[in-house]
Formats: sequence, structure tokens, C-alpha cells
Amino acid sequence: MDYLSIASIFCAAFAVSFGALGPALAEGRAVAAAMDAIARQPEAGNTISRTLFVGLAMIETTAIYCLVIALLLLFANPLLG
Amino acid sequence: MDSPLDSVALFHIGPVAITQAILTTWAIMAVLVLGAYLLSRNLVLMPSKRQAALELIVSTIDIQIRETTGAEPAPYRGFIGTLFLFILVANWSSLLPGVEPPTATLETDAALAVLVFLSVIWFGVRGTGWGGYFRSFAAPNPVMIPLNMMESITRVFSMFVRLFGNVMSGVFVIGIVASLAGLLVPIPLMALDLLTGLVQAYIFAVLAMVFISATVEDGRPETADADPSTPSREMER
Amino acid sequence: MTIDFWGLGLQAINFLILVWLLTRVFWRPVAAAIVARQTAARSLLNEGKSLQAKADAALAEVAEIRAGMAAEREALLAKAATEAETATKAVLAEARDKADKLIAAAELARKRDAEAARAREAARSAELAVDIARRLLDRLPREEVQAAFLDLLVKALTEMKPQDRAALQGAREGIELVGPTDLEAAEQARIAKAVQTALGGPAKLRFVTEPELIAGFELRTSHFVLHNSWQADLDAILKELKHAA
Repeated sequence: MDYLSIASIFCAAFAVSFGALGPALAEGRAVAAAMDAIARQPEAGNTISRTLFVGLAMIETTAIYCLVIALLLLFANPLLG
Repeated sequence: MDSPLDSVALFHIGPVAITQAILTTWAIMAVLVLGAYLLSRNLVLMPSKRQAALELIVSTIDIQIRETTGAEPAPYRGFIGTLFLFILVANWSSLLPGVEPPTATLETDAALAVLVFLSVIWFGVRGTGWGGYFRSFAAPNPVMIPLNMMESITRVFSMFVRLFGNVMSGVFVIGIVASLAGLLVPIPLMALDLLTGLVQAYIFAVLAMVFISATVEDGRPETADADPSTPSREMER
Repeated sequence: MTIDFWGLGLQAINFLILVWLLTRVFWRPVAAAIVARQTAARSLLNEGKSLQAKADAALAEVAEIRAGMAAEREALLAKAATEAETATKAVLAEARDKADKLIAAAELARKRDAEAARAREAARSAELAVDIARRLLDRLPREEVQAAFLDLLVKALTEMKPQDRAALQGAREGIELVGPTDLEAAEQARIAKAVQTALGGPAKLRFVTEPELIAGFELRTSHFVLHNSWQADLDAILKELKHAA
């Protein structure tokens, strides 16, 4: 196993870990804001939770991008041939 | 461990490699078409429970289209609704043992993304003509034309990767957990996958609808906006 | 990682076929069913509204008819009342007529009775007068009374118009000189003489006795009567009395 493979694995783990960090914080903020909004306006709870789920999925997409990059590094690394 | 990015060809029909995803897609198509045909065979004025459920699906999709874009749902209902139903059923097909959802493969998601890209062109041209379609790139002002052209491709690419990543990661994680812990442990993850699959299907359909309606709206002549500072008017000058 | 473009195209075609099929068997029919039910509900609502309007109109019509019936009944009642009134009036008038007739008849009968009674009274009073006159005459000397009447006769003859007197004198069958009692010849001669002098010439005189005269003399020819007696006077009085009544 050469250094390139080791670097690829390390970078994949790095990408997933840091790629998970930002979305986790962002989702926390989003859920907190949504809870606040629902507490203020319980009658708008349906719309808010629907928008919240969509927004969470969008935020999560960034983590998914990171996961895809990690997978590319692991399974489809063009440098490893 | 197999790469989740590759798919294995089971057999070939001419130059086309038939993978398991394609077979699953055909099965899903058969189930959907047959089910829809059988359920909506005799529609009557006084709805039964079955017909009420069907109408609930249709009217829900209509309401979503109307709420997200404000457009009349009739021309888009077929494409958007089928997109949603297909992706939903495909995502949830992972519940069946031994079935890998077709949306967890690159080809299916890429095909869906390409179709969304083409449908934006199709609906844009049908709504406002070729001139209107090209005009929609100049919104909000002509400086944005290169960016808009880039965006029209990257947004569908983003949709493609989003759908693929979500579904594939779910399948992948469940596979890893199942290989590590065996029975019953992946069940919470599968439940999470149900939610993810529903939300992804909804997002995909809504985004497609938003792109289409944005193109149609931007392609309209300035009569839609009476505000003199509208970007479309600047472009006309 | 490789993307199989044949597979991609096949999946795209698959999805397009799915869109086409589902549009045919699912989206369009169900949406059409929804629209059909909406239009049916709307038409039912409209129909219900129109039916209600019709029912309201019918109700109003019934109310109108009822009011008309009430008015008709009132009119009939009023008509019957007026008819009854006129009938009563007619009956009353008839009854009054009958009563009037009865009253008139009674009046007539009463008048007739009164007339008869008066006639009886007159007859009795005439008899009474004749009686009285006879009694009065009985108390007086007959010759003097007759002389007075002869004077009166002479006077009446002298007061007559000459041609009448001449006609009386020249009466062919003669003049009847009527007296209450039979006269003696001397007396007859004296009276004839007085009359002839009054007449201014000779005249054929026949003496007739009629006790009904009571007293007095009367001259009678076939055309002419000269009343000069108590009986004539009483008759005149009686006639006057009757006239006065």
C-alpha cells in the first residue's frame, strides 16, 4: 500500500468528518429556528415542518456531497488506476 | 466489498447492458401502470374509498404544484407526479429483501436529471416559445447569462448527485451495518431511509417544478411585470 | 466509476414510457373524475337553488291564491249580505204595502160605514125634521101657513122672468097645483085667482093633494117644478147637511 492510498483514505475520512460538521451545526440551527417558529405560531406548524424537512434534506445534501467525494476517493480514485 | 458507484451487468441486449436496476425499474413500471390501471378502471361520480385515495394523491400533487409555483397544475401534473411517484416507489423498494433501489445507481439518477433538464427546455419553449426560453437566461439581467447557463446544468447535476448520494448512502450504510451486526439492527436505519426516500422524492419533484416554472416565468414578456425597474425590461432596452 | 450511457438512455426511455402510460391510465382519468364531480356538484347546487326558487314561487303563488280566496269569500259574504238586505227591504216594503193596502181598505170600509151611518143619521134626522115640522105645523093655524106659502108662491112667480112665466102660463096640459090637504072650492078659487094674477093671465089649474108636502104649494108642469113647500125646504136642508158632512 503506497502513500497515495493512505492519503486517499485519510482524505476520505477527513472529508466525511468535516463534511458532517457543518451540516450538523446548520441542521441544529434550522431545527431550533423551526421550533421557535412553531412555538410562536402553532397554527403554521404544518407548513413550517414541511419546509423544515425540505431544508434539512437540502442541508444534508452537502454532507452527502462529502460522502460521495469520500466514496470516489475510496472506490473510484482516478490516481490509483 | 463492491463499489456502490458501479453496477454489474446481468446480461446484454445488443449493446445495452441490462443491470439489476433496469430490471427493478421495469418491475416498478409494471407495478405502477398495472396498479394505476386496475385502481382507476371504473371511476364514478360517487367515489369509493379506493377512488377517494387516488383522488387524494392527484389533488395533493395539484396543491403542491399550485403552492410552490402558483401555476395551473394541469400541464405539469403528468411529468411531476410521475417523477414523484417513481422516485418514491424506487426509494422504498429497498425495503424488499434483495432489491436494490434503481435510484441508488448512477444511470437512473442521471437519466432523471437529464429528463428534468430537457423538460425545462420543453416546457419553457412550449410556454413562451424559443425566444422566451432564451430570454429566460437573461434574468435578472444580461450579465447573468453565462452564470444562468452554467446554473441550468449544475442545478440538475446537483439534483442528480443529491438523489444518488442520499439513496445510495442509505443502502450503503444499511449494507455495512447488516454485514457487521446482522439481523434487526439495520431496522432503525431503514426507517430513516423511508423518511429520506420520501423527502428526496418530494424535493426532486418540487425542484423540477420550480425550475420549470422559473423558466416559464422568466421567459414571459414584460407584461407580467409592470414595474419599470424590472430586469427583463432592462434587457429589452 | 463509469456511467453506462446505454443504461442511462434506457432508463430515460423507461421513465418517459412510464410518464406516458401513467398520464394515460392515471393522471388524466382521475383529474377528469375530480373535475366531473366538481361540475356535477356545481350543477346539483344550481339545480337545488333553482328548485328552491321554484318552490318559493309556488309557495308565494299558494299564498296569493289563499289571499284571493279570502278576498273572494269576503266578496261573496258582502254580496250575500247585500242580497239579504235587499230581500229584507223588499219583504219589508211588500209588507208595508200590504199593511198600507189593508189600512186603506180598512179606512175605506170605515168611511163607507161612516157614510152609511151618516146616511142613516141623515134619514133619521130627516124623519125627525119632518116630524118636528109636522108638530110645529100642528101648532100653527093651517090657513095662515097656507096663506103665507101662497104669498111666497105668488112672489116667486112674480119674480120669474116674463118668458118663463109665459111658458108656464101656456103649458098645454095645464099646471098642477100641489097642496098638502084637500082644499074646498072657495079656497081653490081664491088660490087660482091669486096664481093667475101672479102669472099675468089665465091658466089651466089642477089641484092635487100630496100630504108629504107637509105645508106649502108647489107648481108642476111636465117641464117645470116650482118648489114651495116645507118638504122641499127640509130636503134642501138635508142636502146641505149631507154636503157639509
